[in-house]
Amino acid sequence: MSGSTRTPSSVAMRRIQSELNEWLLHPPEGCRLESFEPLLRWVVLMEGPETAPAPGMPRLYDGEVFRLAINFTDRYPLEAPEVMFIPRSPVHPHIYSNGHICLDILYDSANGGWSPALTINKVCLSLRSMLASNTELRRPVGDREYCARMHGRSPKETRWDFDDDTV
Amino acid sequence: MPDTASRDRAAAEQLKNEGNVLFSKGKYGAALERYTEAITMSPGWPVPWLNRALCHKKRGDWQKVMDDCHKALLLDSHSLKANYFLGQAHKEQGEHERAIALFLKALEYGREEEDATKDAIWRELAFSKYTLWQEQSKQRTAEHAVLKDRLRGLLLKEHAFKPPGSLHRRATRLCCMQGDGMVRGQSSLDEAAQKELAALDQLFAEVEAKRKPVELGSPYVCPLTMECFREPAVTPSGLSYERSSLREHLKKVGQFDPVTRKPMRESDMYSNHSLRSATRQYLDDNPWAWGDIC
Repeated sequence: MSGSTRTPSSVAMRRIQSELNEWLLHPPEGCRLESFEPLLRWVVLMEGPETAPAPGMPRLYDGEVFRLAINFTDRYPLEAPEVMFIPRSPVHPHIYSNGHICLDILYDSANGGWSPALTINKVCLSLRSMLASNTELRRPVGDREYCARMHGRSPKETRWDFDDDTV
Repeated sequence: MPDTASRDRAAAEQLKNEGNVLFSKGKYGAALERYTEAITMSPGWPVPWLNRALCHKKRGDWQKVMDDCHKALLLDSHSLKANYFLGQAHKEQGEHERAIALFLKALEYGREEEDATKDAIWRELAFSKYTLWQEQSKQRTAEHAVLKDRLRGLLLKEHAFKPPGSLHRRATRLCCMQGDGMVRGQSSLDEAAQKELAALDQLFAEVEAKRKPVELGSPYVCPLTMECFREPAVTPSGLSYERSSLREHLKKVGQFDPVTRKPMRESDMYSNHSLRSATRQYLDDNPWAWGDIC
């Protein structure tokens, strides 16, 4: 009877707003928010890291800027956000040309590693270090077939296999 | 005559149920009449008083909300709803201090209530706390500005201090006329005055700074809600989360600690009373932080 106003979506909106405030105070290194309107869809500009994976190795993404699309659902943060690069995506053994990213923390399925304690800020830092530690400019195996099969679908629909820890 | 009483009570329950049906359809006027009849049948039963208060609330009739809540509180002083609705009525009238006391009582009596209601009360409490702080802060800033001017004036008078420009000229003149000793005496007096004035300015600046919002203290913020704790619960990893959010995480995401990922179950979490008290203390010390909750 009390007519409480707290719906699941207002939980999500409050949390996203808090993350946005936090981001504006302390943005992750090398990242900028291009847009956060509507609040459920962010676009992040990510500069290629200027550090090399090891002394003497080439800096693969130095000077490049990538765009990252982040879509939240009403169930955020209990449900992982959808995170993908807007093509042209960085050439990387774990990033498909359609922008889908093979990184466990981005997915909440049985083998996924999403936790509601993660934030977009931390996700961006992870992605950037994934780029920084890469040593070879190549696409994942089966890139073309995957992109053809997934055409227009969300990376959250993919059954990911995260056992490849070589990169 | 217990028979008549129980018959009246049964009739009142029937009327109350009819009222509830009408209420859920948004027919507040008609529901209100049923509750009034129920009250007539069984005036010592608090429920129809409360339900009628809720009808008045929906109609924005705050004076009548207060009347019915007062009546309900006479019958049951520990009623969460009576304290909550009465608090809302006072909040609507801008009487935030009274509203705060009532919201706190409602939260206290509502320990066992569902979280959605307590959350709603918590946010209304935050609104009243924040509004009250804003009002007091504005008033105090104005009072302090006046006080500071007066104190500066008194200090200057005490040191017979002239504005710096003229002082300098006078000091130079004195130097020419009377030699070193006199000037040194004069300037050390000025130095003392300057020091006191600077200390006064700093004192007021420090007080003013305390009233400015800064970043939320992270020990008091739940990593899941990213808001100040209301009811923190601690996990076997030693980390604390807002109880209701942690419970939802364990139910819907997985049976693990959200930060450390160590496996855990709902039965492994305990209320963190110390952190709860510390958070309330933090909010009392930094009232601007209520603004992030409401």
